[in-house]
Amino acid sequence: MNEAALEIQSLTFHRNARTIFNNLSFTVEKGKFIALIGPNGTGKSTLLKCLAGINRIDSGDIKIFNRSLRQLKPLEIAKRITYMPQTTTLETNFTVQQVVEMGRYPHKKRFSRWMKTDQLAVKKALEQVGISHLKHRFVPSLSGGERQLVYLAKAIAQETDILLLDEPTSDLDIYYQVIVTDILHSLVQEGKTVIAAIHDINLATRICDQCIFLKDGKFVAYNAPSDALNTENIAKTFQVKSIIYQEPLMKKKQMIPFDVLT
Amino acid sequence: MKQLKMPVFFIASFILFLFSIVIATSFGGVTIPLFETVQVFLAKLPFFYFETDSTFEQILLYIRLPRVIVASIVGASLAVCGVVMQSLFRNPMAEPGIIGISSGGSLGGVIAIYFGLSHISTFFVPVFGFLGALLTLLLVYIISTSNGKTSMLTLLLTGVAISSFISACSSLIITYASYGQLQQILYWLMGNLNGRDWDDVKLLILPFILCNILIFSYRKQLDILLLGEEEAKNLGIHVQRTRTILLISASLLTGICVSLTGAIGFVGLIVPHMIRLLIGPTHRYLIPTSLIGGALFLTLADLIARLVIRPAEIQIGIITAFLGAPYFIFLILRQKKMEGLL
Repeated sequence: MNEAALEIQSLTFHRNARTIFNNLSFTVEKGKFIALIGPNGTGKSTLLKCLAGINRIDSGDIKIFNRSLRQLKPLEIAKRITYMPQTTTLETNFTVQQVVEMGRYPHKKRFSRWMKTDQLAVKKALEQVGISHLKHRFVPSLSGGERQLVYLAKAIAQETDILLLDEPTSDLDIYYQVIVTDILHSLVQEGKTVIAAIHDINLATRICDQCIFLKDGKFVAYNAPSDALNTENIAKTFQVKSIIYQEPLMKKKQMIPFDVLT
Repeated sequence: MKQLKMPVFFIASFILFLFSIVIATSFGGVTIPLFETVQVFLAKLPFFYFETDSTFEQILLYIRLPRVIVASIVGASLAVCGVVMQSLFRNPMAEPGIIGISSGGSLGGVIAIYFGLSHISTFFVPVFGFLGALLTLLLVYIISTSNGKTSMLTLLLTGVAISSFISACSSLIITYASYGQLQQILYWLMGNLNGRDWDDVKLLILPFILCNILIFSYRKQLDILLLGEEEAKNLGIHVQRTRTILLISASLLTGICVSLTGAIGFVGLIVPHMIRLLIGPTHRYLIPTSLIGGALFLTLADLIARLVIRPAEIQIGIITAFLGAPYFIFLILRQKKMEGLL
């Protein structure tokens, strides 16, 4: 087994007196691509935000490369882990470049100058996501899909070892879906650890190393997609009857839902 | 509109500001030739020597210059505080007094006038004004904070509620005020720069410099806060601490200005918008340029206020609102056109 990127020990999180997670423990290996799958309102975003230190957990511990989140300062956390939200609300006329540059914030001291390394990281991120041609456009004037790419570029410019992505493909047409999938794969190849909540089960199980089926704050399965994707887990997670078949060309399991369980 | 090259714009507006000081000090009840004005000012600097008229010198250095400097500092402060509030609340309608600071300051001044304290010493109105602003800030902040977390929405709503409550208190006092007091109160409420001297400048200068340095040191955080609270946390910003520091420093600076000159409206609302249209939303540039822009705006508004019905004066609050309101409507119409809404 590889080094653990994330170690979650009996995580408990409440929101408004409602328990979202109770005693959840799991480990994420370094350099893996994990897909987080589950119905709406089951805690996918909440889990990602807990891991990124945005939501303060009530008990338990989260360790990033053996350092407890509780002992790290916000800036230290931001150097190690980033979270990309599903929807963004920016109404101010920042340019694409300006927003991506904000990803460098954790690496800067209060009065330190803008360095060559920062410039390079921003340029690389823009190129990797393929939005260099948009860099002088105002973010609010972009389409939803393009805006998602801007935030992805910002997350990449942050140069963290772990990236948490909330529905990175939800607003995208299939062209950009393929592009983003490729970007995520190349990030994993660079040795980064990626956890992404993905709505499209077939897409998720096709591209990930391991997938988590999440239902009401509990794991139904946490396994390689070939093992995790079965009618039983789909039924448990989504209350849906499904057919699982082997796609002959890619030799991957795929799923077709056809009826709800009653 | 295309965004201008930043250093060029900054230097240009600074030169414009120096010009406006010369113009604003030259005109008034007595018109002093611009050339004479420049000579009087330059004579005060080392290495310059000019023969100057002593009457002009008296008028320029002891009557008009302190007033123009107070106008500049107040205008600059309100504009920068407006920038901070608009970014903190992520709301283009935010202005320096949005959480009730201006109303609180006004009430303090009204109380001082009503109880005749202003006759004992002119010092009382600003002191009560500042206390009013400070108490309002405390009250609104405490109501909106629970478990060490301040909700920006609660802050905004509480501010609006407290603000209208305090305004009602002011109105109530006005109902009971005598005719003489009434005039003095109205004069104070509309904002005025009358009779400002070097003592006022001394009072303003230190908080002005300190608050602005503090605010400018948070320029990157202000940019990021515009992306939203979660984004700011994700990038490692201590959101609660940052917001509290910015809120308090902007409110205190606003409170000090309001307590000296009364609530001068619209500067803190429109100057940041104008500058943002010209140079974009990045705070590294927005803050210093708004500083100059606010100073320029209020200096010129004050000049107009002094000239229109010469030798009498119009309240400066009237001028800023006359200039500000149409621009505000223009902004709303522009927004409407852009969104295709309303």
